[in-house]
Amino acid sequence: MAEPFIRITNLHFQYRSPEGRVLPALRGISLEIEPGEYVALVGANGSGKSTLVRHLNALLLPDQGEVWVEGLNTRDVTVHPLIRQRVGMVFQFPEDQIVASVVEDDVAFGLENLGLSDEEIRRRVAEILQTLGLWEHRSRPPHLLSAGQIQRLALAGVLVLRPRCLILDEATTMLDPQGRLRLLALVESLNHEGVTLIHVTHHMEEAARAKRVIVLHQGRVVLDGSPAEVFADAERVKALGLETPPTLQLAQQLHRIYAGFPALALHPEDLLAKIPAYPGIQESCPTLPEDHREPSHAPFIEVDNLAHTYLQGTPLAHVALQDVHLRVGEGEAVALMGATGSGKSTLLQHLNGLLRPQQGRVRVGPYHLETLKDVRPVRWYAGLLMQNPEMQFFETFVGDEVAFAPRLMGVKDLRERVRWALEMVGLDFEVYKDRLLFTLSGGERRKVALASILAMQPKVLLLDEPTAGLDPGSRRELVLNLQQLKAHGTTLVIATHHLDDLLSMIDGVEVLFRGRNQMGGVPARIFNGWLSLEPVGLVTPLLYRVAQKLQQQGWPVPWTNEEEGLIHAVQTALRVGHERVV
Amino acid sequence: MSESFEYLRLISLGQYLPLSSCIHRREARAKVAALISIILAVVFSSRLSGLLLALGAALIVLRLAHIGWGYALRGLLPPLPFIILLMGIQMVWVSYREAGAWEMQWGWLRLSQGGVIAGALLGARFAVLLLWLMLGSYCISNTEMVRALRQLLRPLRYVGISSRDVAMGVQVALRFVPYLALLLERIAKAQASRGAVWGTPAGGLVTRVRQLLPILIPLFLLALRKAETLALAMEARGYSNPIAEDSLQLPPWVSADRWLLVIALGLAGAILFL
Repeated sequence: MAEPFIRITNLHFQYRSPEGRVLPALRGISLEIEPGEYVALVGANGSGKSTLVRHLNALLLPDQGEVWVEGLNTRDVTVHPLIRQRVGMVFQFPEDQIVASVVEDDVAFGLENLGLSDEEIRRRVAEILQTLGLWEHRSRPPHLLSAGQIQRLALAGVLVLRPRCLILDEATTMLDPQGRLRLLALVESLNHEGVTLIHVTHHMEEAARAKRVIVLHQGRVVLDGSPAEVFADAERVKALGLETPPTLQLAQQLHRIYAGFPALALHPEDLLAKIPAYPGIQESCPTLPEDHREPSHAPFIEVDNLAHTYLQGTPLAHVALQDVHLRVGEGEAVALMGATGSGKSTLLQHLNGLLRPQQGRVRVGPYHLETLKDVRPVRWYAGLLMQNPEMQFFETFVGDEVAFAPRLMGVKDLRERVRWALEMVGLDFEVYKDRLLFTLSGGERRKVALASILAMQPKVLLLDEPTAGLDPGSRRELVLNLQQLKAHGTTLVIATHHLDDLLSMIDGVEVLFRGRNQMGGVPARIFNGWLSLEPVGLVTPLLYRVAQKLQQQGWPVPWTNEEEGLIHAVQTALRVGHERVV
Repeated sequence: MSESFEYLRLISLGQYLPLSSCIHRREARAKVAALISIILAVVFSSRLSGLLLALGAALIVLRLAHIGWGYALRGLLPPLPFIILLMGIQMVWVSYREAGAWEMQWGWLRLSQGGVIAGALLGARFAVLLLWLMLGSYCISNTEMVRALRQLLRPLRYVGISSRDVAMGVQVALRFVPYLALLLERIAKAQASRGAVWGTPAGGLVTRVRQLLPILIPLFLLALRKAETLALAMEARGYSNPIAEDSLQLPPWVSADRWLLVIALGLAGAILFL
């Protein structure tokens, strides 16, 4: 029998904390991966995924057990250069992987390590930069690239080595939906050419694209099989802190009420292609949804003609916003969408006074930002949860972190306030207040970050990619928290790439493109298929794609942004159709 | 309240500007060798006229490299208080030891012609030196610098030091400069968005240091974590491969590169002996 590409036997690995405590990360993993396989590796935050893949290119060595790559044992230090040439790896935060200060030099780094000729290096660098659409940025400094570009740069630096196996360690986290799809299409085409692909991801619809899904739980392999096999037991998957792909969930619900819907659809395309024609009598064509979002008499947040240029007056000046408008009513939830680098974060940072308008007007509640002297009240009034907020903790203990803002505000009963904030995000005050921040899991950290903003009791909550990098379980809980806050009357402005998670609570969508307003309105209007979303980096949420297809197949269902709503509409349509036929 | 979080704006030192000028296009070793010779000349020159020449030359090279004077000179602003402080110390120090054509005394403070000249020379030397260093960082990308250093430091291998490792250390340190500024910006914004006050000059030294502390700790933690990931990523891309040690190949010199070096050496001589 031929040697598998990767063979892992009884792999154990543990981290040691500075105090000498042993933290087991992998507990007896045995796996074989054949050449050319496409594997998705999933598991809750902290399940050992990153630790496992780092063994595959000898970045970590086993405490116990063996890892073989094409017959080479990773314990043999002399073969490490060979292994690393064959197994390329892209990490989660692309900016941490960049070595050089110019794009093309960075891509050349690995080739120089291989000792290739200058001419060969130049040819291969040019080739990969063109393939990944970075050619015109080749002489720019990497820290000024957009998130999507820097992700592609990190990928280019690895692909240029022509590895036989590519590992993506949550490498799509920082990308917009189109960017993700493009990246996946690219690496999948490499897989068709024979490159072994291992994709570590929190997104089950991405995992479902693989031929094989491996689920890790507390350092052990608990499920291993085709996507259909692994996701068959929804309860089990949920208990592991994951979820079944949203497409599958929707398909199963639809199948339960009408057998004409496919029971097993893992990809949106599968489901859409198999949506049956309406069995009842078609009455009339559904109409295009109106823009129900009436301009409220007195918008709560008002942005007019806002423009912002970073590093103004230097050769590195960069226009981030131009002539931007935004209206948000009190108690509404509005999503800011658009490709990476379209200006969403910049706009958000204007709403709590981190950035002052260089041009134009910004009003948040009673505060006019363009004339305001002291911006601190605005920052408390409109709390901002920044991207990857857990990277910005500055205290040691959970309690202190949450108390930071209320202490500055001079809140009387600090303890009560911290208790309230922690309980709002579902963390027990007594259990968590004295815990060390760095010992928390990814989901818990994000909750503490949210609590530390909520502790200011802001009227407006500004969230920058709140669900990015969280496992499905934590994502569900976060969305529930936000729904509660909205029910309590908090106005929400959310910059996000993942509308699917938040869809049911969103009143309006504002799409930015290259720092300008592209379109705006109720979600159904943006995503009804009439507007072209691809150039602005968006993908229509699954629910709308299904609703649209149902309408095309003659089903009298309205646009809805809730799954139950759609299921209910299909049920009603079936009942009505049945009555007519009878 | 004029708060600004654009720390990147403050570090024009260590900021490569990817322009295409007759200076930028020169071969890395020529640029590095030229820069080093001029900097050495500025350090050891003893006359104001030499420093003025170096200043004029720097302004001309800036123009040739398509870099605005304003941008470069702004880079001198952050270290200006230090320069002035050093100038003051030098003036007083020398005034006590050397007399000159004139002298002034207020209480314990004494200034003499010799002291004032020495102070002015010191200030001018620092300013010109910084200007040339900035010029170097605008026109020589880190990778060019690293390649050139690898070549120029090659003789070190006879004492058992790998010029590649030295050069890599320099490269990573250089790359972290703008990066730390971006990190600082993020942390400061996170704190400011919870009501911490930034950038306001209120408060004495102690208050300011106390303001800075909570930002430095997460900055260090983050920087360490980033450094760790960077090390992993470099390993993953085959950095420790021993083949790479001697594989360095550099583009051939053209006559413009030779001219650059000749002019730089001539200029260095003029700065020293003018």
